[in-house]
Amino acid sequence: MDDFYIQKVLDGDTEGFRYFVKSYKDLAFTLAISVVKDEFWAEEVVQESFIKVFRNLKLFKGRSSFKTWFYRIVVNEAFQQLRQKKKHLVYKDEFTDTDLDDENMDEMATEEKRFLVEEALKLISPKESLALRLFYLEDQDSKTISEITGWSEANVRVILHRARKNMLKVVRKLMLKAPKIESNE
Amino acid sequence: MNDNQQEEQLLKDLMKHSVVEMPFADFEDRLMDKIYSEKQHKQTVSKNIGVAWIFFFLGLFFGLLITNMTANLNDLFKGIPAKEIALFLQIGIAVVLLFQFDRLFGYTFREKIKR
Repeated sequence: MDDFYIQKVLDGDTEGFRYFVKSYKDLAFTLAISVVKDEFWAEEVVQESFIKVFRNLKLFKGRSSFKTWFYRIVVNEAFQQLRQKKKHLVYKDEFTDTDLDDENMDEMATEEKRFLVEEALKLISPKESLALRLFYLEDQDSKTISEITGWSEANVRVILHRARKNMLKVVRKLMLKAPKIESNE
Repeated sequence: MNDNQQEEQLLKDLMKHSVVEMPFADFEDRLMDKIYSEKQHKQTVSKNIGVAWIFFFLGLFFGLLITNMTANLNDLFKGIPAKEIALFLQIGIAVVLLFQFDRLFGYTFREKIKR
């Protein structure tokens, strides 16, 4: 489907580009917010990325999938803006482990889990947050993550390993802080 | 299931909920407006480059014409030999044309060079 719409846009049908916006805007936003940690900033990143894609669509040779190529543009744009705006977001690289009964996790509603994971991903570093989302949401292997991010495969594995540990620790810490609503039964 | 497998399962379960939907409802329409402007801009630039080439060749033609006409002048103009004035004109025309050609070439073939 991507190839069909790429050809349509290259043939002059600008409206065909809307297909890419509809299909990829949410995942692009998810990747962008992993890096920049702010909704408005992430929107700017995604917008710039789509414009770059439109300008350079004729340069897409099909050596990788369109998705990989597009995600690479989003990730590069996000890190570039992070460097340019010189935002000094401070992240802890290591979190201390906390004992918590993980059975509480099973009882949580979907909305609670969504909130918890969003908050946790904001607290870990951009690289770790990005790696986790690419690995678990997009089912990308280390090789594809390496193509998208420009990191070496070995580096991807190290970042993923650290990200998993830190993510679990942060989630447990957040659950400890969350107020418990007790039943009056 | 050992601890590592449990943690991996926990993480998988959590990460399923990590998609963040674009919260701005008008994002798509605003972006498409920019895409259409971008296309319009590309077309305008293309047209302007075409016009610039036309004027470049006109300039080349008239430059050569003036160079040819002044080549055989022998009179004095305000005390300065006409040949010196002609030489000054010829150098000026050549320099302008060279610079213009370099810039036009760059604008026209920039994207092909990038590839």
